[in-house]
Amino acid sequence: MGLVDQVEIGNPTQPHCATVLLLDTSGSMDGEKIAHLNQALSQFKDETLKDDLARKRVDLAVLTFGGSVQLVQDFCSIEDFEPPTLSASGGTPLGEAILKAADMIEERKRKYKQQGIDYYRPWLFLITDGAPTDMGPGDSVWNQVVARVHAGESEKKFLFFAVAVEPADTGTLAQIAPPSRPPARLIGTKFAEMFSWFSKSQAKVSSSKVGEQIQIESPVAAGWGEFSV
Amino acid sequence: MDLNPQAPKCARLFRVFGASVIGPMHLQREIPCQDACAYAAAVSDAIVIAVADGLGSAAKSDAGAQLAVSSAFEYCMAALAATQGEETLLYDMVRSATAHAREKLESLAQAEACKLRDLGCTLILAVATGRQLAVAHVGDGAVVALVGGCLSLVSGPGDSEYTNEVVPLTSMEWQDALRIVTVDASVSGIAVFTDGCQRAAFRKVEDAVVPFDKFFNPIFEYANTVSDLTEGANEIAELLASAKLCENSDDDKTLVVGVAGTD
Repeated sequence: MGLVDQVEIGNPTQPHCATVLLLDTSGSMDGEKIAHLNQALSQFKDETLKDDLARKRVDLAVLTFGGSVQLVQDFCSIEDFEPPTLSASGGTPLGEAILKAADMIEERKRKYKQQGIDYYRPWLFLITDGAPTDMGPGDSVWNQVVARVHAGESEKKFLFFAVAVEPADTGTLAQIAPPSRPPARLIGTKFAEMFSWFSKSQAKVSSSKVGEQIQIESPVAAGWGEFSV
Repeated sequence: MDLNPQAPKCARLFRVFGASVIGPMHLQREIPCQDACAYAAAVSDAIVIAVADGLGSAAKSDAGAQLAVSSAFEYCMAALAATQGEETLLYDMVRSATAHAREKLESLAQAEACKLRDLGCTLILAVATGRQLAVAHVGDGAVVALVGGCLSLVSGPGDSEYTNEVVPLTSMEWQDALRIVTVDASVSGIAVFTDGCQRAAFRKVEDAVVPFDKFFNPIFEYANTVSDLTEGANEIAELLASAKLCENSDDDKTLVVGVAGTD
């Protein structure tokens, strides 16, 4: 193996794509769903590693919300990402989780700027099977969360993508999600197909120019999701 | 102060190799490589490394960089030969060698009837013996050393905020811009490089640069095992010309490595 293969670059100019996975680990996810999710996270790492650009550019963090909001994985490269084995219990503090994810993204962008790293629009990818237990339509947390998500999307601060897993309250989720990007409903437990699509989407972003609009494949076409009418 | 009492008192730096490689931007614009380097193991267990980066904005900076490197290098080689292993003040030697290089640039400007600034270049001159390392440095680029098994930034790129604001050796203010650093310790490895390598060689912590271990460790490990110095130079040239380095800087790149090695 030559030196070229052995050395790493200290301060690469690779543009970064900050991605926060926001995963529901509340009690209702227990059993088959959490098992599928764990498996899919591992597979996500393997598939993304195969893409030369995505492996350098995706900057991944994982937040879970089950009982409390936990930072399971702070921002790291796909190579350094250690897929967690999540377990499910407790309520669904979705509001707190979204606010924390949005804060993390802002902070990460500030760091990029400080270090002169270009970046793509960050992703906030939410997967939930329930309804929030720490907020309800009209209360102050709710209003704060909805305002933050909608403004974040319309001001292009981040791309918010929500996935509803059975038996999630899609109606409530649709009010939180930006109007331009309604939540997709996962067909059965097609977590593997969904993360495959997610990996491909991240690869697509990674091969684009910073600031370029990219077309993401529809979950319907990708075969894992549907949209409620 | 001896930073590493366990290490042999006089680790002899005798294996030294490196390369200057043209960057993709200069290739594309058909501009010559404006980096230059010279290096050798000298008598009395010393090595001398000189590295220069010709300024992109200076018309004959490739000639300036080559002359700065060769004159500073030869000055030190001659001075080391003259002292024949006696204790030498390396600080004075690298300072005088830098002044000598500056005078040579002035003479060349006169002979070529060009402006001194047309020869604009940086200069890093490092002389290491088993007991001491001395570096004279004008402009950007850097020197990183292995001292007591730890990577240490001996001389950094300077604090100019913008890379096009480097004060070159040809500047009126070169003496103010000259940094001389000495390390009174046995150095087991040294790397001298131009700014084209900086993104690869450093991590940024807050606003400071820190030598990146995953860049330097493989290089020093390699240097400790390579027996053919031409092969070593080729390996460095290959690294500097690789897509991995070029996607992070389209500038010319120079890297010279010296190690104590295992005899």
